[in-house]
Amino acid sequence: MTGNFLPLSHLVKGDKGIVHHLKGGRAINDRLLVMGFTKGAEISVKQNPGFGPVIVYVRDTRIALGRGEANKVIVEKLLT
Amino acid sequence: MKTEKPFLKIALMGQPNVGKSTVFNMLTGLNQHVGNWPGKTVAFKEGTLTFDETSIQLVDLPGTYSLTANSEEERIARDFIINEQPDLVIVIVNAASLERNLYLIAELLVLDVPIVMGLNMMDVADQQGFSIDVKLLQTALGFPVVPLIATKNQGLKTLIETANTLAQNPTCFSPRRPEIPPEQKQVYDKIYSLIEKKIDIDHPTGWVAIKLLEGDREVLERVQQSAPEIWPKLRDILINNEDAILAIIQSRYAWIERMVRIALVRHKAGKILLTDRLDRVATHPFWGIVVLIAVFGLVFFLTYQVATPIVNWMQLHLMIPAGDFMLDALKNTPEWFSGLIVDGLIGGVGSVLTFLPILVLFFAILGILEDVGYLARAAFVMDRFMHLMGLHGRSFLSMFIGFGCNVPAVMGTRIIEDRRARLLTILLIPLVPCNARIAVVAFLAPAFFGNSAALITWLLVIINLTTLMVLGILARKFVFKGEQTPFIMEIPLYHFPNLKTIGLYVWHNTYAFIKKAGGLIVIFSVIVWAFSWFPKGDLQNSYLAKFGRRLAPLGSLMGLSDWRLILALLTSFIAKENTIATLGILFGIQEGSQVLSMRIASTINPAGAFAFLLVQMLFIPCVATVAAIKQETNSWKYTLINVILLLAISLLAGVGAYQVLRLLNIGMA
Repeated sequence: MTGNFLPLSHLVKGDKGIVHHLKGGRAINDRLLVMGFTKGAEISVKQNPGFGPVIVYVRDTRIALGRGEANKVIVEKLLT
Repeated sequence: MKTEKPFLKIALMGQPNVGKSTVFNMLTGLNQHVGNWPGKTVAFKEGTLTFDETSIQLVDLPGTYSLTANSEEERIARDFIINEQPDLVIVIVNAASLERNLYLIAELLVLDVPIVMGLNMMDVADQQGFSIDVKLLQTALGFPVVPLIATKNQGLKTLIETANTLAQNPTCFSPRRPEIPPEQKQVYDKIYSLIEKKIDIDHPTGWVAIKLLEGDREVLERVQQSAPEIWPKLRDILINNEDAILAIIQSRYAWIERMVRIALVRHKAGKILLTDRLDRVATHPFWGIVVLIAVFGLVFFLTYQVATPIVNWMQLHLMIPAGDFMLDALKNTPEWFSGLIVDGLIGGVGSVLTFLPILVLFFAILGILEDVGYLARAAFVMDRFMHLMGLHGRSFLSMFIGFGCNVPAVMGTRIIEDRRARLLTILLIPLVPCNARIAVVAFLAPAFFGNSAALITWLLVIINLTTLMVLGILARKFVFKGEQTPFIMEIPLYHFPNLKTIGLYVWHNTYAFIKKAGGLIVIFSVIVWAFSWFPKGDLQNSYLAKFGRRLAPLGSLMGLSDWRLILALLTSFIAKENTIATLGILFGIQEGSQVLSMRIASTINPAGAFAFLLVQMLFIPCVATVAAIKQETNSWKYTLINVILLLAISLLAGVGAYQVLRLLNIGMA
């Protein structure tokens, strides 16, 4: 595992990552935190067509995020 | 068991998608009272049940992810717990996503109310490869946990029994609470001692201190008003600790992870889950849209194939005989009186009745789609398109409801947090053709266009939705500029719909329609009849005829030379379905019969008929929708702009369509 930080929106279907930090404004961050996007949470990408919203799996839940929101979640990509 | 409290007030809470409604419906059945929260448009549901000689009032609070004040629902839920002080809260948790679901409990534990957790969907969790040791979880949390499969009515009796026992002995409640991290604890203590006995708010001081630390805007404002003298000092503390919320939420999740680690085992599921397999298609950027269009098609198909024959049957076998019977019974009364009863009253009641099969069917389909979990996928698929208008998937859900009725759609925009996005969604909703408008088209189109009726109806719907898109993009570009709100939405697992939940959903919505709109429609039918009869007892010289004739020049631009058609459009302002009721009265034919649609068809050419239906589809929203718009926007100016804009669009479209068809010489025969 190396320091491979990128926005969640850059991950493709099947990729996994660990949340490192959020770089959104207060409103977006609060919502993301409540839904479980806290530091250290594991995320796997279920659907990312490369445009529009994405679907990720976090804390045993599928969550749809707008592309803008997915850009605000900085993750450390896990190498499989 | 000897009970001490004969009455208990218990609140039912839970995050969305945990099967909370199913639990509520199973427990209370038809002993439910459904309304709105005072002054709010969020649905309020309460029910009663008796257990062991204890009478329990069960209040179903709106589904919320947390107890912040981000939305109306969250504010209602937390105000209820704090102000109404229920004896106990039952929190329903989805066993298949325990981690995320425990967050609400972590927040709730800051308040001093006893909790019983209903661990629902145990069967689903099992299918997902999760096994939960309920006893261990219960020991770790320090309060009762009852496993449930609500859809199969398993565990509900134990749930109520457990809740009753704890509510009778609230001192037994000693949960393990999540701790505030050390660094924030210092700040918390400082805030606590600063506000203690200074604030005139009847919330627990500890809770207020936490919410201040989290930067909760509502609590901040109330403290500022209540104790202005400590405000400057408090503000300095809070500004220096702006990031406290991050650490607090982080620590709650750390607490949750400890709980879950003890009690939950995730077996590596080798097989690919059904949800994932279905979502490969349903959320696919291309196939997802194909599925969505197919689902819409199915809704319309069912409306035509199932509801329409029932409606026709009701007219033939109920309304016409009832009219004939009353006409015969009233033959010795003055002519105006029998006319009032038969044409006005029975006609109006018939109009309400004939809507029921369509509404029941529509609400059933919508209920199933929601319960199965498809609507969230639809919002996901549509998000890209909604972005063109600066909106997102949530707005789509409101608009989709608009296909049933624009009134709940306008009210449902409360799920959109951003005010601009909400106003824009409200502006656009009347362009979603509601069931009433589609029903009018469904009634008239076959007579107007024969075999092409379905095609023309589809075309009209597409025109409506295109207009909606264009107006939305323009409004976004010129009026509602600026940033968008976050789109963060849970995608629930697919599951089989619960019949009881859907049945009650259909019942409540249909009942609301009868109660809200039913009386209005009947009254209006009588009034229209009166205007069409007085002063001389015949239609040609009536007040209504005079007004309609005055508008004839405008009508002829749309190919509507018959003033009665113009008038029918005007009366649709009261309720869309009145178009038919009015035409029935004006043409002097029992409302709804097929003879009527043939007679109307004989008065205009296809081009005029198309223009007529087009205007009908785009016309100003009905009175009930306008009232809802006023209520939700809280602005007459905005409401008026909305109405005038739609009036202009519909008339321009009608004139435009007719003139183009005339130039191309299509449908002029």
